[in-house]
Amino acid sequence: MTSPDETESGGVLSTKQSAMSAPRTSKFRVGLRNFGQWAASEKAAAVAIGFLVILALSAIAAPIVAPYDPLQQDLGSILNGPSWSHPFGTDELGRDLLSRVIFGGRISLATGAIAVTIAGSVGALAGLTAGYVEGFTGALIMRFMDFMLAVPGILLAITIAAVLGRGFWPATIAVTVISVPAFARLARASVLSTKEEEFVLSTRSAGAGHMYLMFRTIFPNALSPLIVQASVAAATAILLEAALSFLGLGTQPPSPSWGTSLALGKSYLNQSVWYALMPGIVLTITVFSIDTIGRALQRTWGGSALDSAAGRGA
Amino acid sequence: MLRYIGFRILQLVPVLVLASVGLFLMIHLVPGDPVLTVTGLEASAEQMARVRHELGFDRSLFVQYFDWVGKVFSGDLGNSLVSQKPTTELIADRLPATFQLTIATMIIGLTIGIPMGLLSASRQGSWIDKGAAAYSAFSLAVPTFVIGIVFILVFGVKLGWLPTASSYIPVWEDPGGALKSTIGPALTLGFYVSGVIARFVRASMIEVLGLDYIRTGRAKGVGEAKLVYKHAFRAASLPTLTVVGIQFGTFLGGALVTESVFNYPGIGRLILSAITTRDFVVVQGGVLVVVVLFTLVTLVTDILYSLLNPKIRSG
Repeated sequence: MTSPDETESGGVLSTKQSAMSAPRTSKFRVGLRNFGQWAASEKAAAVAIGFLVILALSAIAAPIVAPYDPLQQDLGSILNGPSWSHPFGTDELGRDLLSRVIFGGRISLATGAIAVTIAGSVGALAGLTAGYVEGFTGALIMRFMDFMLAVPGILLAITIAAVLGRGFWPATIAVTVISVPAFARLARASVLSTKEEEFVLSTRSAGAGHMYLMFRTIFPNALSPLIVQASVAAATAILLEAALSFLGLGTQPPSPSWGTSLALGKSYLNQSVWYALMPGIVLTITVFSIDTIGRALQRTWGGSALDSAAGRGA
Repeated sequence: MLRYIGFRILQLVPVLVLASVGLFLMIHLVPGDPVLTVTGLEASAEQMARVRHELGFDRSLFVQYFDWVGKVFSGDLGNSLVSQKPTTELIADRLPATFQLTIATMIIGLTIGIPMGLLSASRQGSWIDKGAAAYSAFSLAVPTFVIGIVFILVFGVKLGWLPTASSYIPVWEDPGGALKSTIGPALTLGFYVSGVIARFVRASMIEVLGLDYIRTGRAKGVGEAKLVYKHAFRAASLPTLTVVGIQFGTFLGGALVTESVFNYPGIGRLILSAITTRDFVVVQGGVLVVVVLFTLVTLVTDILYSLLNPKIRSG
């Protein structure tokens, strides 16, 4: 299945080319210049990166950046719309929504980062092993992944969250677990397609051991589809965490996660539309930005990982 | 062909066995005693022991598992710990609502997605194509609970067209009422699916339009419209079928977020509320039914695919 975006070709991320034209510059500067060229040819992705950087920085520096304490109540001004003193408005207890959205970014981004790092490593390792070893072990790993894919993602996530209890960690673990199979499948597919290539065979005949072949020879060639998948998985993880919190199975109030705010805001739609809309808009822009970067990487490197975003709706 | 179907059915066995074991273990490892769901928190030790014995929870997990599977095969999913009603009855109550929503969703998704995918594939790079790409990128990124809230806000709160909380009204009893109660969640899910379908149709159309037989057709003077809509679309509809099948299967059980945004009484919400009340018998039965439905839909999709695709059939 070819991805719809594959037909266009974008910028270049190859270090080789520029390194040859400017042999004296440091690796970092070459990397920076290549990134600049790439960003210039992928303007939407550059804007998306900008947004995510701002989001991440404000999440990290939330106590400094946020205008108010996200838990500070002001019963004199409840469910207000946007104003100069409260740019996003206030909630049913008069808490500042902008501050709550900034602090909520910590939860969403942390879930995304943790899920991608752990699921990516575990999935890549499992897929690499399954592709390299094949045989019984390989089949066993892949059947297990198939089983996980045989259950709708959100359903598996809520079942896991139900078993583990409510809160940030149960939700993050649930989201991480269901992100693993996509990485495993991709890693296995790229191993299977490269392991009979000549450069692998020649490294093997030169006496390289299994570990060297797996991690030093084959793995680097499987990396780019996995990075594209990482962007899809990060966006999906953030979406699912918000969904779990929305359903009351994730981070619990008064903690200001986006999903929780949305669920609370929904019950005050008649009084204030901003309460539910603001976290919803920020969440949507975040997911959209990550997807945009993923699509740009896909145009650059090829691959069709974004198709796995098709499992999101619920 | 029969061999292929048989093979595919056999392949389901390990998946279903694994699913049932996984589900069973997961539910039985839940922290917190399910007996408390029945007796309430103030129960005495003897009371709890008696209920535990009545429910058979004092037996070994091994015995409990085979007992459960045995009953599943005879159509007994156990009684709800909360309402004491048979789980099968609870599920049977909810399934029609879920089917109606899923079918409405797919109708919306296909009506928007297919024309959009076809148009953007036949006019690559045009503003239609760019607009369609933006539409599907957006539909994938916006969470169903956000778009659902927007629909409630616009059509329910502001315009007052829709009930803000929908219920299930069968389409054959009251088509108007059914439309009103289903349209909100169906549009929400349909928006998402239409984006997915448009992407797939476009991608497969572009792949097919580049093939030799289309070029030959063009060289022979077959009209562009006939080429695109008749010849190429027939070939491109195959991969699309798979996506439609997967989405259909997913929504049969996984539409629980949308169902809860609209308070729609589908099977997803049944499972969700069972999770909140720790009614693990219903969770177990509900998830099992959903998994079976999902695998069956995937199976039917695969079989349809092989019936329509001569390459697989002969091979």
